[in-house]
Order: sequence, then structure tokens, then C-alpha cells
Amino acid sequence: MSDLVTLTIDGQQIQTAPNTLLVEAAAQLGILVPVYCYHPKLAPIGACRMCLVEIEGMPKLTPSCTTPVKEGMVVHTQNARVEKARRGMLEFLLIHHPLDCPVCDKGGECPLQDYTYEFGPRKTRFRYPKRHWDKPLQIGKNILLDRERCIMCLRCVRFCEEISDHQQIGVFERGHSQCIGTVPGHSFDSQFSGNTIELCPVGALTGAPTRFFGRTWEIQHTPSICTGCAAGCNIRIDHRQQRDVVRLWSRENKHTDDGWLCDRGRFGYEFVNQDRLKDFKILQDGQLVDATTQQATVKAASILSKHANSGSLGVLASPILTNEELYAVEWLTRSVLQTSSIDHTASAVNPQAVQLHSVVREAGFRSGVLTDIDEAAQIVTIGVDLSNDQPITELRVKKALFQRKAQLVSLYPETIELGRYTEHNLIYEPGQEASVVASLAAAVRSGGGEGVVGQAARLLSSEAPKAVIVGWKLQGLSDFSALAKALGELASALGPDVPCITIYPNCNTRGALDLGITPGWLPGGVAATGSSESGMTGIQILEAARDGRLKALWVVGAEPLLEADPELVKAALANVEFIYQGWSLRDVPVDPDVVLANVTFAEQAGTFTNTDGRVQRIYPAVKPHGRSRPGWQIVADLGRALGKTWEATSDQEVFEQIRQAVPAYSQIKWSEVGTLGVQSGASAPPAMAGATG
Amino acid sequence: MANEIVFSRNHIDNVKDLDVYVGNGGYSSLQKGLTMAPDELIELVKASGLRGRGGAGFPTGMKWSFVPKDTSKPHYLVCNADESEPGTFKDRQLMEVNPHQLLEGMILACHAIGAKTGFIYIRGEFVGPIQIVSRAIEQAYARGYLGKNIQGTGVDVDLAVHPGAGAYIWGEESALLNSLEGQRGLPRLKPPFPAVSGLYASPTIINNVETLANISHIVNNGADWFKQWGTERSAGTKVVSISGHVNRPGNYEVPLATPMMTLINEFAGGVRDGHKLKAVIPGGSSVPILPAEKCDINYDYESIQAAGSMLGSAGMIVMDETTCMVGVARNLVHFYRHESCGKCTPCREGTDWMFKILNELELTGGQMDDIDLLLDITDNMDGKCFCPLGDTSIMSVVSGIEHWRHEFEEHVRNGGCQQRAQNGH
Amino acid sequence: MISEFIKGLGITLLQVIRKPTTVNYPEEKRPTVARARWRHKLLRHEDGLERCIGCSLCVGACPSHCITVVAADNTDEDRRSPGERYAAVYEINMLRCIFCGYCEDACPTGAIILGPDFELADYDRASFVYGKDRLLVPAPGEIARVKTRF
Repeated sequence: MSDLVTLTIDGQQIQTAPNTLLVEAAAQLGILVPVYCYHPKLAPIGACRMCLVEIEGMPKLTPSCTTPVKEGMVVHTQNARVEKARRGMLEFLLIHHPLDCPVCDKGGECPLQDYTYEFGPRKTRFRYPKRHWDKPLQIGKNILLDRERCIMCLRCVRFCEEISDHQQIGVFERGHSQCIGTVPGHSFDSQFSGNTIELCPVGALTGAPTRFFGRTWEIQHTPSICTGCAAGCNIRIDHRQQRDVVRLWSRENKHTDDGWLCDRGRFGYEFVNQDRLKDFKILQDGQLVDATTQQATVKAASILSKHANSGSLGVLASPILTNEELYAVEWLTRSVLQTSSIDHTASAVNPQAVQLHSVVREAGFRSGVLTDIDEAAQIVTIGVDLSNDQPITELRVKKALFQRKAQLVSLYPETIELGRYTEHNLIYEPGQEASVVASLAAAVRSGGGEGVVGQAARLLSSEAPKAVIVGWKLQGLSDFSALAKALGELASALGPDVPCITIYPNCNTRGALDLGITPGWLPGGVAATGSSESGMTGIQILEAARDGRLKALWVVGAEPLLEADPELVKAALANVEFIYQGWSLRDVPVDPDVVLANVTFAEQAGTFTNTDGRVQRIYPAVKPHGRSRPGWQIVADLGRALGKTWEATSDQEVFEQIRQAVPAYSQIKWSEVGTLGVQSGASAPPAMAGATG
Repeated sequence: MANEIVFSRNHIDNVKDLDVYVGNGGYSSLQKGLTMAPDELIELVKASGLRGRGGAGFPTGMKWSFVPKDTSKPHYLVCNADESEPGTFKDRQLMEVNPHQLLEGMILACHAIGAKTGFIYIRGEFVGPIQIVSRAIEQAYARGYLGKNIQGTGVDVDLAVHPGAGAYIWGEESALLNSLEGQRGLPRLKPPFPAVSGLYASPTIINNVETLANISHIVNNGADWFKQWGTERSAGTKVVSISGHVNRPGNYEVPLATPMMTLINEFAGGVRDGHKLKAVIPGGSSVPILPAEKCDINYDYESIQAAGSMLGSAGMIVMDETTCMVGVARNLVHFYRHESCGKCTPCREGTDWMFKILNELELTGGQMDDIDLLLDITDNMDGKCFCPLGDTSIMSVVSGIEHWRHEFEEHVRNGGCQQRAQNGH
Repeated sequence: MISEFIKGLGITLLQVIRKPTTVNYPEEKRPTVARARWRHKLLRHEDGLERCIGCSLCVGACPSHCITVVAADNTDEDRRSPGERYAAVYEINMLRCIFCGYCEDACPTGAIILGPDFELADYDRASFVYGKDRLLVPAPGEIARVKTRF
């Protein structure tokens, strides 16, 4: 306790860690010090002067956002002198502010409004014309700038300098005509640009896609999980009276997103609002017509039962379905329909069913989690371009590089965004992955060597804590077993207990793998044996359907269809009896025989498992469109129609069954998942045994 | 008794040429100074009582001693020649007439603080001084006064000129460092102070031109010689730039504690004919204005402070009774409004608002409440700005209203400035 | 007993000659009080632009949650109101409205006022939801589109 600092703020004593800023110490006591330029994730600059406080013994008022605590300090945040300064500062900020709150998207959740209401002057004393700028300016695809509202806190510019290092916006001019603008010749198209909307304490930066989404007092918030990639970023779904999703907002979870959100996730919610299936449908005389739930279910069940147990049925389930839905699909496919051809992807990158996270564990790495990056001094990325594959994790790596001067070794066929920050770019011909990893392992073991590999190896042969990140694209290698062997060599060369994080493509790919939505693997990562061993992978299913070897397809969610060659998909779907279960027909090129209306993630409860195995809950935000239903309920109905009853009446009950089936989830208590999720345990199934189709 | 130290060679024809300078005792301090231990040199400057001549008046030796001894980083010396204060024009003459004196001082200062590199950051508008100092550096390199092993003493010093790009704020030392690094010239957070983490995050000392020009003389003649001028706490001489309503405006090097009226009446030849003194800005535009009745003081740091103003950078602006004090405030606030960097709220918005009010007072009169509103705005800015620019921008307004409130009120009553109307503006 | 009877009849006769307090509505209409708060109107500026900017402050103020506003962008080609924003949808559910006038208080542009028109009866529930077609006053020169039902 001796290294804590004791000080007094407004008569209350507090002990806090040294180097804590005064504004943070005050917050620990529950004392509100208004701030604009201060943000806990950005370096302090002390520009807005809102947070001035009085420290006894100091002649001037002191900005609390730049002053660290000192032993014995006596601070006043609420006396007349401080309050006058605050009022004065707000008056300065407001003299040129347009006060167009009624049409401002920030109105209602605006710190400038809130502090003006709490501390500010009631009337203006400024009698002159205000500053005018053209507005709004579209400075990027997703960002609108209103310079009149800007208070020059520079949070946006600092975010682009310190966090994303996409320096596309900056400050121009000086003094009273100072303004934010884009760097000449560039627009603000950083894939993290949306974060500046959240950072902006006024309505100067607003989202173009969410412009005039509604007023904040009409908006309800529901915690959820982003479905954009496998990072599992926590989000807040903002919706109007449970009707439309109007906006996604970040929700900090240090295990996944660290408080940020990429634009792909932030603005990628349109599929929830548009082109939605409202009714179950059946194909009649070449026309899709609305049908009752009963009619459609019976028809689908009859198709499924016709092809059950005969090897002529294929099942594709989207990796953005919830664990509960995937578990239900797996149950019906394997247990009821006795079918082993089931997959979550039809991408050519996954021709063989591999559990990458198990492969790296077998190779000798520790199962890594994203927060391992925060501890590492050396980061090795293998076969992954994080700015495409998982943008938020790229920010986490950048944080390690910028704030802790961590070093990076990148293995990828081309220069990646993160390659800017390292000399150790090991660029190779696609297909050479195994040999590059093996040569790096050999060089690390010998402590160096020639060329780029040698330099990287010299770096990695030190004792510094390391983290390895491997990408899902490696799964597609034809010599996968060679790569697995090379990873094993690398693991032993880097030393014990090096965490390895596997990057998967979709928000629930990891869940799909854990739940057996892949041929040759049963729930829990148990290798299939016997008759179910010989299932086809996604791309094989489509090819077999095209060639007439499969007679029926059950597709749940259209994502697998988008990954394959469109011609193949068209030919395959036209050639079989086709049951489609999903939320939109937009991506389905052939009219299905039966359409079952599924809800999206925004309308149901359930869980997702992110790339490092963290199980996180989603909550229903908006009402289901029309008669659409959660997938596991549709599947339960199909089961009943096929004469098999599945005992589950709530998502919690389904999850309990998943816990029984998947050892890695067995320790997870439903009540503890909450809004921030729980890490699933590391079960130890074999990694490569079993069929590869 | 004038022109004793930094102007002592100004009368020599073409002293900016190296040969002439050396022929008149120039660079003679190097042998002595560079063979002294750096600590000895710092102690010598401390003992001389030399205070920074840029405006703040911080003891120079003390500043040098703040440089950490145990860093692996390089040390830097930066000469602040970004002289932009309205009313101050001494550094320009020091560089134009006698650039080698500055270089000599910088070489010694570099040795004292352990710096191998020094930068002379010259205001971009000073095209002449930039050329002259650059030429002097070339000459000094050619003759071995700069570069490796200066005059066989084993000391290496490199100097370079960096022209500014036109902003008053770069006279603020941390903004100057940002500008020198190629960044936007905004003031930095302190601490860390530049002596610990300055240019390129390395220990850096920033001194004014006049401060550095004094060094060679102190080394040559000793601390006691230097202290024969001035007072105990304001030692040495000071170049005072006198401008305004006087008969002979110009730079005058005088011992500190010379009576201010002597400066005006003897050196500057008195207030212009037929007029009498109304007010003096004693230390450049950033200090409060003194009314004539308070001008009977000695010109040193302490006396001026006691009278309610500051010596600052010694840019003395003399005003006679024809001067409109609202106009003065308007003029100066216009300057600060234009030069505010915009980083902090009170300076960015406060200077703009003050100018709008003063402009209205001057042109159309405004309202009687505006005078108290002005005072309230200055109170909201005072001590709350990020750097001294904002804090000092209010000086002319505060002291103007304090001493000449009736003039502000007349402006309101008359619907603007009578003088301006008479002069047909 | 007869005297009581006559007394009673007298009172009745007195009422017969007294001026009736009722009027022959709807042929005859009583003037409403000057500050009567009934059916809402959305006003326009003198140049014909709508006053409403779609800010939804009325929605926030409404104690019975009977107002729905959906805003949209003004463009130079299709300008409905001054500034950036106008109400693309403005609906009041007259069945829920309690005619408290808070919306009028809340409005920053003076766009909505409650007027003297109290004749709101209708035959089906759906038609009690008044949209902009019925709430917005006609633009200068525009022919009134307000449907008359009686």
C-alpha cells in the first residue's frame, strides 16, 4: 500500500496509484469534472481547459486532465473560482457554436449540452455574427463534418494519430479560423473512421449512413455482439421502439474490442432492416407464395425425410447463426436425418475440415486469447492480414506496437498494413507457407541466419514474451500436414507457453467448429467415426448437388452460398430439392422449394463463440419481422414433423444441452455469461484425426 | 554609459565579417571557455546573474544546470531568434550587425550543456538576418570556429539556421521545438520541460539571442565585471527597443536600473515635439501598459514589476497624449487574435470575442456593459490558457480599462472613436 | 296540494320561456374560447417552407406518446424546410392525444399549434392517426386538401 498516493479532493481523502491523473482520481470518488479533450484512451493534451481545478498552493487553476496526483495535494473542484472558470470556458465554446441542437444527431447525448445545462451560462453575452462554414461536409464515405459545431478538442485527429495511425484528417488554419479537415488529396476513409463519431463530444462528426437516425430520447439500447468478423466485438444495438435498428455503437469489452469498432461492423447492419423475409413460403407452379408456418414446415420435413439416411442430402449452415441454432441444425442433421454431409462454409479455402485452434494447440502452442497480445513484446502473424481479416485485432496489435514498442514479424504473401511498422516482413509465394514457417523455426533454433528470415529469427530468439497469430486462410493449404508440422517446430523453437491465437473468418465460425457443423467432427471437437465419418465439405456438397449425386439441400443462412463460385451455386441449387432457411432471399439465386423465415441476430437471444473461444450472449433488440422465428425453434418444429421431439423451450435450455455436448463449454455458467461473455475452456480433442472428406 | 557589452562592437565597420570580428577581439573567449569544465562555465554564468533576455527573465545559469547529466540522448541548444513581439526589435540588430558574437556565445553554451548541435531558429520574415547569420556560420566553419575540434580545444559544435514560417506563437519555446521538428507549431504540455525532454525528446536548452550574445563577454571578463552594471538581481545591461512617439526611436543598450525617463528623454530624445507622455508599454506588447505618472521608475525587472508591469523583452512603446487607448487595445488584441494558435479554448475564442467588442467600441461605440464584459472575458482567460500567449493577450485591455476607463466610456457615448472620426478614417 | 302543483308548473313554465343553453349543433355552432386547444396544425413560414424541422422535441415532451416523427435530409432540389432537416413523417394519434399542448411548448420553431377545431369524430380507428397531409397547413396558393367528412 505504500506506493499509493494520498490526496484530498473536495474534502474527501483518496488513495490512488501514482501517475493517476487528477480527473481520474476525482472520477474514482464519483466527482464529475467536465472534460472535452480528455479521453482515457488518448494521450492528454490539456486543450479545452474545461477541467480546470484549484490546487492549494498553486496560484493558477490547473487542468486536471494533465496533472498527475501528488502526495498531500488538496484539490477543489467545486468552489466559486473553479465554477466561474467552467462557466467562462463554456461561454467561450458556445459563442460560435450554432446551437442547432434540434437538428443535430448528437442532441440528447451531447456533453456540450449536458455541461452547459449543469455548469454553463444561461444566456449569451455574444452579440456578433457567428462563424460560418459550409455544412455538412462529407469528408469520407461514412463521415459528415460540421465545422460550426466543432470545439477543437482534437479527439478525432488524435485517434487517427495515436490509435489507428490512419492520418487522413488534420487541423488547418489557426486561431479563431482553425478547423478540422481532410489531408489534401485524401478523404477520410479509414476503416476505423466511425470511432471518431463516438469520440466527438459534440455533433461535429456524425455518421453519414446513420444521419437523422432519430433522436436519442426515442432510442432504446440493447447489448449485442457484432457479426462482422470473428473478433466478437461487443456492440450496443440502438433501435426505435424495437422496430428498426438505427445505429450500432461500441460497448467496451477489454477481452475483445477494447472499446473500438470498425466501420464494417458499425455500418454493416442494413441486412437487419432490408429485404427481410416476413413469411414462410412454398414454391407453387414456379412461384413462391406465402404459406403458413405449418404448411412450410410439413413440406420441408417431407423433403428431408425423403432423403434422410440415404446420403443424398447436404446441409449448409451459416457461421453467423447462433450456437443454439447451429446446435439444433447439427442435431437434426446427424441424429434425425442420419446425414453426415454438413458444413458451415463452402469456400475453396476450406476444402478439408480442419480445426485450426486444435492444430496449433497440438503443435505445442498455448491456446491464445486476444488479450495475450497486450502482454507480448514480440508478435508473429502467420498467414493473416488483420486489417482485412479482423480489423479490431489490428488495432490491438497497433496498440502493442505504439504504446509498448512491441515488435512484429509478419508472414504473408504480400505486404500488409501492419508491415509498415516492421522490417521483418517475410513475404512468400502462396503455397510456400509450410516451408517459410519451417525455415523460420530452424533459424530461431540456430539463433539467426541470413536475410529477412535470419533477422526475424534473431529477434525472436530473445527471451521476450511472444504471441503468435495464425489466420484461417492457412486451412486451405494442400500440404496442411506439412504446415502443422512446421508450426510444431516453430512452437518448440519459440519456447514453452507461447500463446497462439487463431483468426477465424466469421462471427461464429469457432462456434460452428465446436458444435460439429463440419464434416468429420461431432460437437465438442470429437472426431466422427463410423458412418458419419465420410461427410462432404461445403464445396463438395455443392459440386455433388450440381452433378446429381445429392438430391436435396438444406441451407440455413446464405453466407456459405456467397463464398462459392456463383455459377456452381446456381447449378447446384437448380438441380436439387432446395430448402432455404434464412432472413433474406437477396443472396439466393434460385427460388427454393420451401422458405423458412429465420430471424437475424438482432431479434433473438443466444450465444456466439468468438475467434479465441469466448462465449458471449446476444439479446433480442428488435421484434421479429413478420412471422420469422429463431432458427432452433424452426428446427424443433421440423424435428416434430419428422417424429422426433426435441426438449427445449428457451435459449437457456438449448445452451444447457450445448454445455453437455461440448466439453469446452461445460464450465460456463449461463448466469455468468452476462453482457461481457466467458472464456470457454480448452478441451483437448484430437486435431487432425478423422476424415478429410 | 551605454553600449558596454553586446553592442560594444556595433560601431566597428563591417564587424559581421569574420576577419573584422576576430581583429577586434572576437572569438577570444573560446580558448578560455572551451578549456573550462562545463560545470565551471555554468557556475560562471550563474555567478554573473545573467537572466534570460527573451521575456520571462529566468536565470540563465540555473536553466543550464537543469540539463540531466546522465542521459544517453544527445543534448541540443536552440537559439530563439523568432523575435515577433510587437515593439521588440533588438535581436534583429544583434544578428544583422554582429552575428559572430551570437555564434561565439552559442559555442560556449553548447560546451556548457554538453550539446554538439545547436539550431538558430530565426523568424521567417527576417530574410536579412537569416542570410547574414548563415554567411557567418559558413565563415566560422571555414576558419575552424565551428565543426570538429574547435581551435584545438577538442570541442565539437555544429550550428545551423532554421527559418521559421511566420507565427508569433513559435516564440514560445515548446511551440518553437514543435516547429523545428517539422510539426504543427503548437505549445507542448509541461512538464516535461525542454531541459529534460525537448527537441526530439532530448534535453534541450532554448535561449534568446541577446542572452547568448552576452556569454562570450562574461567568459572573457568574469562575473564581477558583468555585475558592475545593474542591480543585484538584475545584473548587466539590456538592449531596449524604444519606439513610438519619441524623437529618436531605436535600440539602446543600457545598464539595467537606468531610470525609465532617462531612457525616453535622453537616449530616445524625448517625446515628440509639442506633446507630452501619456503611457508606456515597457516590455513589448505582452505586458500591461503603464500610465505616465507611473513611469518614474528604474528600468529593471523588479522595479517594473512593482509598478505593475513587466520588463518582458524590453520593447518599449512610448505613447503621447494623442493616443487613443481603445485603439491601442484594439490594435494589440487584433494581433493576438491573429496569432493565437487555436489550441486552447480561452485564447482561441477569447481573443476573437475581445476583438469584436473592441472593434465595435472603436468604430460604432458599442454598449456601456461591454466594458465590464471585456473585464469579465479577460478574467475568464487570465491564467487559464495553455501557454502565455493567451494569458498576456489581455494585458492591454486590463491595464487600458484600469487607467483609462473614461476613454472607453466616451467611446460608447460618442458612438465610436472621436479621433478616428476627426482624422477621417 | 294544488298550490304546490302550480308552483311546480310555474317553474316548468319559467324554463320554457327562458333562452335555451343548448344550440342546434351542427347547424349552429358556438364560438370556442380564444385559447382553445384542439386539433393540431403544422404551420409554414411566409415563404411556404415548413416550420417543422423534424427535431422530435414534441415527441420527447408528449406525455401520452402519441406523436411519431421521422426526419429526412433537405436537399437543394427538394427543400421542405429551412436548414438541414425536415419531418418526412409527422403523425399524431388523436385517440391518445390529451390536448395538453406540451408539443406546442416544446417546439423550437413554433411549427405546431393547437387550434379551435374540435370536430374530430370519425368512423374507424386508423383514420385517427393524422399524418402530414392533414396536419400541415396548405402552402400559399395550394388548394386545401383537407377532407371534409360531414
